[in-house]
Amino acid sequence: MKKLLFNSLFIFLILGISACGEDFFDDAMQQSNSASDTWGSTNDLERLVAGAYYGISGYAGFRGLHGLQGVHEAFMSDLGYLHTNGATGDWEQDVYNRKNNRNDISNYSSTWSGGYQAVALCNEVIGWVEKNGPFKDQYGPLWTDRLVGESLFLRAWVYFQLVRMHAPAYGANNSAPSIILNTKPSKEPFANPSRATVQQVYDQMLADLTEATRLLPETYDSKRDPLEYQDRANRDAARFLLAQVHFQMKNYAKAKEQIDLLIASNRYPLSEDPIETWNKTGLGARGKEVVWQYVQYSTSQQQWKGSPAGAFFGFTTRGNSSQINSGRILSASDAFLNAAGWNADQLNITNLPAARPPGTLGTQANFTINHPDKRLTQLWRAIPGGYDPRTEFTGYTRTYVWCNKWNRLSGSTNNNLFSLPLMRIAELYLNRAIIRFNDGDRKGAAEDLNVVRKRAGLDPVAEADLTANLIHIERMKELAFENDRLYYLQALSLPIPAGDRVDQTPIPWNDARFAMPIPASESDLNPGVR
Amino acid sequence: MKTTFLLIALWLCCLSTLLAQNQTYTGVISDAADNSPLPGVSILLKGTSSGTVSDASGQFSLVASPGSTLILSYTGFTSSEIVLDNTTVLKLKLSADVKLLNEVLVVGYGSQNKREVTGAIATVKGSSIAQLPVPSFDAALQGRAAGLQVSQQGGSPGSPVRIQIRGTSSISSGTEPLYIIDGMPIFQDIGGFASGRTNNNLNPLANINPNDIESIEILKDAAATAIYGSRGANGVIIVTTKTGKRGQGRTTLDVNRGTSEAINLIDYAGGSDWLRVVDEARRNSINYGITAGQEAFNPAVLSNNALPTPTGVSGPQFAPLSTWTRQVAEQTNTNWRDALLQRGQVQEVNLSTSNGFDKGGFFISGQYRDEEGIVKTHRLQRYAVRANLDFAPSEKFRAGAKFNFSYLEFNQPQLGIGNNGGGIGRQNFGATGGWSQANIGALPIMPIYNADGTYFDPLRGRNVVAGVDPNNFTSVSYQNRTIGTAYLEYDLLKNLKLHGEASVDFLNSLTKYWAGDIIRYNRVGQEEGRYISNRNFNAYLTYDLVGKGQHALTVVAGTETQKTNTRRQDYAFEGLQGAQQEIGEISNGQTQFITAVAGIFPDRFFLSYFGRANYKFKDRYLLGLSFRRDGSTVFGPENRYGNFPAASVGWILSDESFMNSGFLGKFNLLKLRASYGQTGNANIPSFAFVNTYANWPVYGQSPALGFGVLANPNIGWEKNNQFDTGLEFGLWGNRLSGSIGYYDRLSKEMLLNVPVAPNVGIGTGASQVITNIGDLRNRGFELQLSSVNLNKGDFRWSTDLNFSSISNEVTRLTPQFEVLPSGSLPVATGIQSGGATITQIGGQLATFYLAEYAGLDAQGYESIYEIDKEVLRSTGKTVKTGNVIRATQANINANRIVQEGKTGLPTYFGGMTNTFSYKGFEISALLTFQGGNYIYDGHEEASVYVRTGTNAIRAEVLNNYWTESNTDAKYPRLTWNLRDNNNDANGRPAAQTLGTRTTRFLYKGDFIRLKTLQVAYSLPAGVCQKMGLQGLRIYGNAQNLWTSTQFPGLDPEVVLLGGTQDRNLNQGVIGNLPVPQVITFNGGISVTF
Repeated sequence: MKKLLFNSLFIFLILGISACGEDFFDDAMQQSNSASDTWGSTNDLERLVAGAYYGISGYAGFRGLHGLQGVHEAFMSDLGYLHTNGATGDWEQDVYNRKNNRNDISNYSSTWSGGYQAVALCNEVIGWVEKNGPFKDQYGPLWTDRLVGESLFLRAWVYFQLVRMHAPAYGANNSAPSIILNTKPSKEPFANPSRATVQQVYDQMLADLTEATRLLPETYDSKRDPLEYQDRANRDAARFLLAQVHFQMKNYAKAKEQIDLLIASNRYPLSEDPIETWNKTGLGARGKEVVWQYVQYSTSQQQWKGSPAGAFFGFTTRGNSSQINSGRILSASDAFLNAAGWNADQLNITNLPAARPPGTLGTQANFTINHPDKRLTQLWRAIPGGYDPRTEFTGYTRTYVWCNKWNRLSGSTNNNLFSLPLMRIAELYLNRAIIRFNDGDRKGAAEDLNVVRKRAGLDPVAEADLTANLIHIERMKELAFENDRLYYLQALSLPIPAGDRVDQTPIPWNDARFAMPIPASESDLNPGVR
Repeated sequence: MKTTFLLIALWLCCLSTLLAQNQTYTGVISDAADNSPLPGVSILLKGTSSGTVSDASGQFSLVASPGSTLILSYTGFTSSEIVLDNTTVLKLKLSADVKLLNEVLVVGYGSQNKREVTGAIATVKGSSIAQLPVPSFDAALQGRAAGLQVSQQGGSPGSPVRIQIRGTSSISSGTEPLYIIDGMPIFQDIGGFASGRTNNNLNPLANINPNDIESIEILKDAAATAIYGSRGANGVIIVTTKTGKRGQGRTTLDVNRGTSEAINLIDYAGGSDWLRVVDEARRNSINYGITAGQEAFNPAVLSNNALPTPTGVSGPQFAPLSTWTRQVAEQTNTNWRDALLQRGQVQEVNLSTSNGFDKGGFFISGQYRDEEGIVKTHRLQRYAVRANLDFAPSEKFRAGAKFNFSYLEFNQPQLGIGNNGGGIGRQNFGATGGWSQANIGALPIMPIYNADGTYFDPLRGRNVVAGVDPNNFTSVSYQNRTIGTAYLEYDLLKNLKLHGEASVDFLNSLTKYWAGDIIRYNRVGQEEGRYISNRNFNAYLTYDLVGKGQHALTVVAGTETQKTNTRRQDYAFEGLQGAQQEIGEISNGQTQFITAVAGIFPDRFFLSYFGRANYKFKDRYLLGLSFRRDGSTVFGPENRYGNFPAASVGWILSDESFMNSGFLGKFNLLKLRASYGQTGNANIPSFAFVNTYANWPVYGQSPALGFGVLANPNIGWEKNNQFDTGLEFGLWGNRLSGSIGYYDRLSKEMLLNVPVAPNVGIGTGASQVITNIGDLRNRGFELQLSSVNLNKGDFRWSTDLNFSSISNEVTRLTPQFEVLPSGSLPVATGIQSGGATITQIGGQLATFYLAEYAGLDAQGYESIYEIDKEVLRSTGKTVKTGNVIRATQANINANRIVQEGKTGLPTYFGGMTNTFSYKGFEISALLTFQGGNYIYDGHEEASVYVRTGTNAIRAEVLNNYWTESNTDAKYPRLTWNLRDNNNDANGRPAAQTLGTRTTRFLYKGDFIRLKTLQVAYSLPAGVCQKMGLQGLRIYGNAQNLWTSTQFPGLDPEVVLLGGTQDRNLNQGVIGNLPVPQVITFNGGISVTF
């Protein structure tokens, strides 16, 4: 008995001590639903790239670069009119008045954070492959080039958005400090990088996109690529972005090279009604003219992250297509409507709701505009005085026209699930039209312009009647509130008109007011950018 | 129950038959010094193993034959032998052995004579917390010991209690003490396990029956805690449960019940008042957000929108609500607050039995406790069973097991403390506004029911009554917890013993959440399982050397390992069929899967070696050394181990010859002690040294990874260097005793979640990295006094008082938090938290950082003091210019001032217990107090402005807002949507957004409270004996009967739960309204057989 007890005690003691030594800690497991950064397969890289796409939709899920970049542009350019009564934040008037004195506006810190989140993941993939080469698994040879290409593309796309928001226009002062240019994988929390020059950022984008066009496949191939690749960037997207960057740099000829390639491919015919670009959801579903769009049909993670653009311009609330959006505060400016011939009070509006609010509310089926221009009828809504349900607007006596591109009208379906077109071929036709026009190719310019007009249901413009202004106006009508107008004028070195701002005059294209400061969320923590 | 009585009666019969020839002796044993009865005195018949023990009133009864000898022994008293004669009613006295004071204290891995202890240890006896109507023992510790700050989060059943020993010593790590229950370091996450969806927290100590506790030792300084190494920095609370004592067979049945109600509630404007104020705000804002003619508030703006409907769902309930018209609003006056309240009640049945035998004893107890809170459906039930057994299988062996099993059932209404009630937007889990919503978002102009008796608009989250209806909503946690310890002790040599101990703490928790289709578009259920296994082994040797001459040495050396694993299983489904409130099976196509997660949380392992040596010379010169080496998975392989040494000395002056005369001679004890040592704090998540990626993002259908946690491979232990000194004394035979002490604790290399610049790219996690960043110093005095003030005849009055002072200073922060030369923004000059506090070098932890309120301006708007931006830029200091400016949001952001000396941490606290006894009667009153702290009342901020007509408005505002004719009002001019009437340069309306977060809501938090008032009566022994009982006690008590405070809000006792950093930096910030503290009246009867 005694011996038995003694032995038990001895075993007991051993139990206490046996684990001594480093192997004691070997059994300890980390949290199961996270990965650490020792990548083991091509599939890991695939998921990192998908993470970069996800990053574009915002920081921590809110207010992504996939829409807020356009909000910034719309507030700064001459196409919008701010309804100050409805503004809920304290920054809207400052930005609308083209003041760049605030670095604490949350939208800008969220696009900044989301953008760099995407860039960090791109850098992780690019750096990993650069250092280790493709994985020797079944997908290594098939996917690695594409994944690096997508990473280069996304990095360039993010930098293109951020550099235009936070730096002087290209050509104004290319040695001016712009944004942070991270290109290497880094886990150093306090590296505190400083701002690169405008030129350095554009050079990097050109290099990245040139390489991306080499690495990316021309189109999705079901035998080679994962299914989900249908919704991601291919070589044409890289070409499109390259054309945009060159156009912004005023390298019109180089831009035209890429545009020519894309238009000539006939892969993106401008043949469908305008609405067909904006009403798609689901795997691989896209309008024919769309070269790249941001998809968000995954209900689990994305349905609450709809387009932030829609929240400011659109007709309906994010997440519900039958409800009038209470957040929208930027309607089309009279300056724009008059130039477009869409003068608000002369529009023929039908399908008005039976009663005025607050008794009954309108839905997207209401407030239809009757007009020959399909864009106006399909993508815009006009609300006459007295029909706007928000208390701030019920006293209105006139009509305001609202851009409804980002908010779909399709029964009761959740409009957050609709894809957001970010690259569509109409832009390239209009780019080429102005490039050709400025090069003296009036015939070519008219042809390009009329492709766009024809799709909108309008008569062609005769070559003889063509003016640069006609191209500018057509472009406003086509691309309004699509993150275009301000940068288009800057690319052509044209002044930015005041729009409906009565106390402002046109501002030169290279004015520093269009560049927002680096967000405080960065400068507070990173002395490198102060 | 009947059976138990019968069995006991039978047993008594047998006993009396056996001892028929003997006499029954009864008596009372009291303290020779003060005549106070001595409970628990061991009375043994010499030469036998039979005996008894005195009861709570010092009484006993024993069967013996005349001529036999009784041996009376009692801890701290000199033993005494009594020879029995024919006098059967005895009055016996014992004298305190004041010189020895041989009370034994439980210390880490052993016990020590109190007299020889050189560390700072406070003791709370189990008897002083038993029979209080608290669900867990920690709540009963408030005001009981110096240096121990105890705050309870409101009066909810099972609400967590935050205990801090000697202040807050960290920023990002937990600062709560380590709890050791019968040798087992237990799971102690203050948030506990309950439904995150309802913002309930369940005190992790609610599994322990307070009546089982023999004593609680609170280890405070490094000398006492360094033996617990990396987990000792915040102090250690050692709980020892009861064990049977030889000759003290007793069975106690205790039944009590009580009721509770809220101490303090906020009153809100009723329906018509609410409308009047809101309409006036709108009238004031014509052209500044309100169009003329639209002044009358129409609730349609709140309900006109159709509810967001998920794909493929439609129904009339989603349509805009047409029934909530202005007319309905005018006729409605709903008090949502009262609609959620009920009278709380508690009932408890305790049964325990214990006895001792020759070399051991047992203690068995069972408890059922049922507490209903003051918010409807709030209920916590506990079933607890304990079995403690100690025995000696042979001469050299001792063994034992202590085993506690408990089952909790916790019904949780939505409390909404985390502000997630309301609305069915997004993909949520039902419109359950709950308590918080009832105090903010539920408007008095909204009816509870429609005319047909159905709930009025139950889907938007404002109808909180629909949201607590058990037919619509349940949230229940079921929790099993087993805490058990088994030990073996073997005498290897005469003076060398080996002790081995294996302990487990298994906690299984299942939380069920269910919302029906009245409050959601379809039924949803979720089950959340947590399985925590916590295993601890230790083995140590104790060597006692009583050397030649006057030397004595005790050495302890051992090793310990602990492994904690946590598994989780979460499932959620919607579209459930039937009213059965369970998830069931996904057997039909209608049920949709929402989420299923099964996996683990990071394991937490500790591997340790420890040792302690206590040397004593001439019984009065004391030296203690202790050491621990700890390794943990919390830190990376390079920094895995930490060493924690401590040294202490003591000198018992009262044993010196120069203390023998005059006043000095009155000291029966005077001991000077001092210690210095190092302890650690590893209270951060495991594996913070590994980069991790979140795998929940998705793009389209591409599963994605996002950079989640940025690792810091270099993080190491947070170290606390603590100096402690104290003087312990006993005067006039301990008529007055106590201690006075001082400590100085420097927390070095504090762990902080340092924010990381966004360019690093952490997007799907917290954009911060945990880093050792700075030093924090805590200093304070502690005083503990016990006195017998009056002791005449049968009347006795005694007082226990403790008082603690504390102050802290941040002495170092890493460079990015130092004042920057460029000083671009105040944000860069310190660690800010919650928009209310800042932590800077040279300042106090979490100093309030708010724009300073400067009264109402001539237009009736709030104003603040402007700060000098130039001074801020050049020095980082916030200095007033003397100008007063309007409190716009932009101004408030740019003119915040560091409110020096104002923090949420009390600078002093303590408690006083007065006990009066007369014969069998006893009255005891505990006063607790604290002060020097400030409270930011965010709920007042949320409920005194009209905003956009979406919040309740405090009744206090009604006749106390600025108008042209009432310019010295407390509250500002009413405005709509927090806009002023401001025009731009061209005279066009350009209303500015007004801010609200200023010092006007910052209040002093001092309070004194009659925490406990207890009245008890014990039946005389003779009467008991006639009834066949050992004792009978009737008692009643009241909790929180009276509070005095300057704080005008709900209650000055504020506990913020949430993340550790939140707890440390936002202490004293009230956000959503917590469930108030409650007054509890409780009464019971305790019968001992």
